[in-house]
Amino acid sequence: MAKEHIDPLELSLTGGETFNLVEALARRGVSRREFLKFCTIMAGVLALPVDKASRIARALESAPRVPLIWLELQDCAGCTESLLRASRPTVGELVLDIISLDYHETIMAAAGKQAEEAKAATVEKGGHIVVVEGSIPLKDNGLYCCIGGKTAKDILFETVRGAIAVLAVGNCAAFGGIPAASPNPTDAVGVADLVKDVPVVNLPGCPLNVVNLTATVVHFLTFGSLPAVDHLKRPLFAYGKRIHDNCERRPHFDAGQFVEEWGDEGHRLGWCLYKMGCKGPETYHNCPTVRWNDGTSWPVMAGHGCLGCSEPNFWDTMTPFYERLPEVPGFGVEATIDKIGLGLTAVAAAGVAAHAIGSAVRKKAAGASQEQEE
Amino acid sequence: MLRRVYVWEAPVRIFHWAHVASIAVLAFTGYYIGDPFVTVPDETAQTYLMGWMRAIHFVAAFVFGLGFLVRVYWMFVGNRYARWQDWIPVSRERWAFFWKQLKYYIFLEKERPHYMGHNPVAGLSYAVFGVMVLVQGLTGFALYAEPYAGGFWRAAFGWLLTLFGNQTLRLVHHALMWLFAAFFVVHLYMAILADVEERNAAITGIVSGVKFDHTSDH
Repeated sequence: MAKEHIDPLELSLTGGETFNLVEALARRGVSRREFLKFCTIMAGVLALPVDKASRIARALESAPRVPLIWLELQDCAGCTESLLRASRPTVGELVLDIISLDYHETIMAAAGKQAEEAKAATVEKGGHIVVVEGSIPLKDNGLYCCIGGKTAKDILFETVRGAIAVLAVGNCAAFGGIPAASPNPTDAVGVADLVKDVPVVNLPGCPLNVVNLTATVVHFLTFGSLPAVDHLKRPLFAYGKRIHDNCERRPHFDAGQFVEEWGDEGHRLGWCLYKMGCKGPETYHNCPTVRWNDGTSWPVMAGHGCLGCSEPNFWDTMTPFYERLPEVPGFGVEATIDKIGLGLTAVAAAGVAAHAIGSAVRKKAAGASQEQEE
Repeated sequence: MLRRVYVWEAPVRIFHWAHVASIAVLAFTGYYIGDPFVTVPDETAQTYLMGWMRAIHFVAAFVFGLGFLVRVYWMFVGNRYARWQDWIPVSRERWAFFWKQLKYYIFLEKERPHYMGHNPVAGLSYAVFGVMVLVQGLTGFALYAEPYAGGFWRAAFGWLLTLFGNQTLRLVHHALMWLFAAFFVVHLYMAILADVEERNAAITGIVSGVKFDHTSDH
């Protein structure tokens, strides 16, 4: 990554402005205790030692406001919905105090020309962070997603110019997501497929878990750098472990206790959803530890298997969602690999039996002809 | 005049039986991992059925993988019957024998050709078997690497996960198990057929290493 370490001082010179966060939070009725609780949670999400919470607190207190532009391209606004479910900090605090959300089509007050001007002004100053939600369609010059007369691709390239980083949120912005599912009618791609000169961090999920977005921003404000990422540009703190390895139902997997059908005894006892097609064993995400909607629950906790929504092309690669193995290409839906395999073995056995009879007949015939010769 | 020939050296025989045992164990435990057909209703803390199935599967996988590596090594240093030329027909002569043997198998030839080592058809089937082992090993160890975000296993086999994805790897891994089952049926029959028709001790040979040569009879 080109800009691994960005000096907060440099930030303040290129557009950010220093302000007193504690005072600002106090004005909105958020106590220091609440603030420190938030810092501790962030240290936990980022898998940092607990004493780093105070460092986060110090950093956030003196952090410059980083202007942030949220782009909605070929999306369903589901990640925006997820953002609005942020409770630590509440979305209001997030918007007003820690970051400075200069442009977000769904939640900004400004509209039309004024809004576009505000965005242009932020881009002009540079040093901003761009959050992208939704994929970018490339087919037919990208006309399948146009906003204000510009294609998604043009808007993306215009906005990332001079940016510090691009955070591609949700599976669509990260990998193309559902619009890119076969047959991908709009030739949709993710941000990292197009943007090469600005560091891109992928925060996939369907939708994005806002805790991971907040933690990425907090990491940036605290350490002045983007978090370490895996080969798919996903932060390791959030995507470094499999769902399966942190799952609360894992002891039932190891014990050999499985849900056989929805609502059966095992399902009521909270057994493992492996046989119901759960994709936890092949999905990297921190759902079991951070959960969703302010730590209320997450799919497996609620009794439904993981769909693998943080993995590339999950709509194609993780289906069928309720089976362990994919269908065998070229065979019908009913033909599982086990039926085909058993059939093949049966054919081999039948062939062998027929050959054995043939060989016996041949031997007898050879014996008879030998006797005749004698 | 019956001649006793030492055909299968110890590493070949050990490899053979290590593979027989490991494939049997791997197929059974692997089938359970793919489709856990037994659910244990006991207290969760008292049972570890899937855990043991996986542990045994992994141990057997190392036997399977190591056996394969030893056998490939022995293809280059072993006796003439263990050499890779016995598997892959490169000479014109061996190809001619291949067709002759194949014709015999499909009842177009009356006389069974004689070989001390692998007959050319069997040899080629073992080359195909070797490819099956390789693919099964690669897909298996790629799945084994899946829990690790870094380290040796991820570095050695993680690229397969990136290239094909977990679902495809598991489908191939599962499908190959059935190919091994079909191979086993045909292989066992062919060995018995050779033993009966050639009276060459094909079956006991893979235990003792010694096969009989009748060619000096004629």
